[in-house]
Amino acid sequence: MKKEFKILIIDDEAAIRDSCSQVLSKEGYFTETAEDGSVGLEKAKETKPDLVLVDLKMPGISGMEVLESLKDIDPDIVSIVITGYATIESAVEAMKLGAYDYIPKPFTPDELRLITRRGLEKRRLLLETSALRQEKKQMEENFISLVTHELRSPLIAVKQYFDVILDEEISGKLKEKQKEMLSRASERIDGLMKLVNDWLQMMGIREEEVAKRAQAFDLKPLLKEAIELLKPLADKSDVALQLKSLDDIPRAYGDKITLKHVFMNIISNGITYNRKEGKVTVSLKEEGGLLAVDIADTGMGIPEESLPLIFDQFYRVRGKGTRKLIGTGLGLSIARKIVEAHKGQIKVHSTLGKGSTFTVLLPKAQQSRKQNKSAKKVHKKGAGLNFNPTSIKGGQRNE
Amino acid sequence: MNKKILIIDDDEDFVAITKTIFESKSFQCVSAYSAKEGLQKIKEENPDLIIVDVMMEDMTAGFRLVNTLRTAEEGSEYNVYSKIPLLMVTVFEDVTKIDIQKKAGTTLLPVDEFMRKPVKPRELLTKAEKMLA
Repeated sequence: MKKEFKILIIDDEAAIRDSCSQVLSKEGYFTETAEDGSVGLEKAKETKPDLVLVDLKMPGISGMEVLESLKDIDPDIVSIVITGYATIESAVEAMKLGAYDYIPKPFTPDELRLITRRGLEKRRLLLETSALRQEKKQMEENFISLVTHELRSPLIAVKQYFDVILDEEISGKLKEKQKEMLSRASERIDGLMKLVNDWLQMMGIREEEVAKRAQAFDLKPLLKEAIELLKPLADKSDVALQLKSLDDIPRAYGDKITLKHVFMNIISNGITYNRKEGKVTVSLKEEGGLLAVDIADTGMGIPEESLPLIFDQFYRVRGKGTRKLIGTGLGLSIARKIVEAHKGQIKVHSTLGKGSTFTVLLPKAQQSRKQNKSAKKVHKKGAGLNFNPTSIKGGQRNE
Repeated sequence: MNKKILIIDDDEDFVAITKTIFESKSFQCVSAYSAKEGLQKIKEENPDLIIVDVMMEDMTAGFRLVNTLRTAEEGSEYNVYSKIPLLMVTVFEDVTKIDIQKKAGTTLLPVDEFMRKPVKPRELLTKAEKMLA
């Protein structure tokens, strides 16, 4: 079915309005007219036209202002400027404001028909693109929740069977060897569940989501909470946890839920890869206009050749000390993705045998709000998320 | 007379496992594989405890079931069953990021207890026994 296009003609000259309307109606378009800018905008809101012809020089609201407001009504609207003076300057300015084309007065019906047809072709493409974009986004979202459910359900069922079989009071006595093998199988299922969860979480981290939940907040209580939650693990591993911070540290701007996840992940790494009676020191300070959180451990350290790789998905440092530890190889890449969605940066220093220090740099409250705005603009032009760690300069960067 | 537990879940394995757990302690178990069937079974069996999943025939079937029960007014066919203890067991949180734990027990989600899958058999037993006491 051919879509019936709607065209709005805004011009203070009745003769122009009527003749345009007549020509275009005969072409099979639905037309509407307005005698000035404010009536035009009212009608645009009501009828949602596909294309608008706007006279630049009108009493009241100028054509330029109309062009700007039209974009707010529908960013995909196609506007064509009618200019009586036919000055290149004003036409250029109109194009800058997003007009698709311009037609100088006086013009012939043929010229009008041609420019309208081209404008509507543009409109058709814009609509198709935006429909495709919408569809793609929807598909991505559906895919994630589908995978979540379909992948996790069977794993959970298997896990439940293991739990029940291994509970001898419920299922009866097992042979020692059977019990051992079933326990191991159950642990592997745990690992797989964790992997699936981590992976899904990774796919779920999006800059828009983070921006939506972002707020100004104090980092210190958040760090305290993360440390508190990890205390049992630290006690079990015989590792001491410590928090150092000055009192008047400016507030951070970000999403508390995902940032807490970042700190918990790095601190728990610090505990897991530590030595007996080691410690993990978390310190909060300001550094170069940013907030810096250092997480320093006294563990085995990371070999130099592994350092550039530790934030990669599924990378795990192999060695004597790590073989027995269960991990998915996604923790740090999730952490980095979250920090970068905050326009922050994550760094690491390490000395083999002495320990590693991870530094998370985050923007301060005031500053980052401005940044978010400029980030939005760039995003529209198609700049995607940048996951290259070396190119991110934390809060200074105007991405 | 042994207490009767109704298990409502579209995952047959979960129903089978849960049955095994409770039958080991001589509870009587009945099951339903959708919210719709669940409501029917409630009327037929008048259980002492209901264990219910969230996502069954659709994303929120379990939520509607507990609300139907709990808000059943006098004269409604479910009114006599509106006080049966409800235990919600689900993975719903992972899919939607909604914190059910916090909402459980409020008028928004009128269940008595909530557990995340996979549930530990012993925790499930302890919780159910407490609810039945």
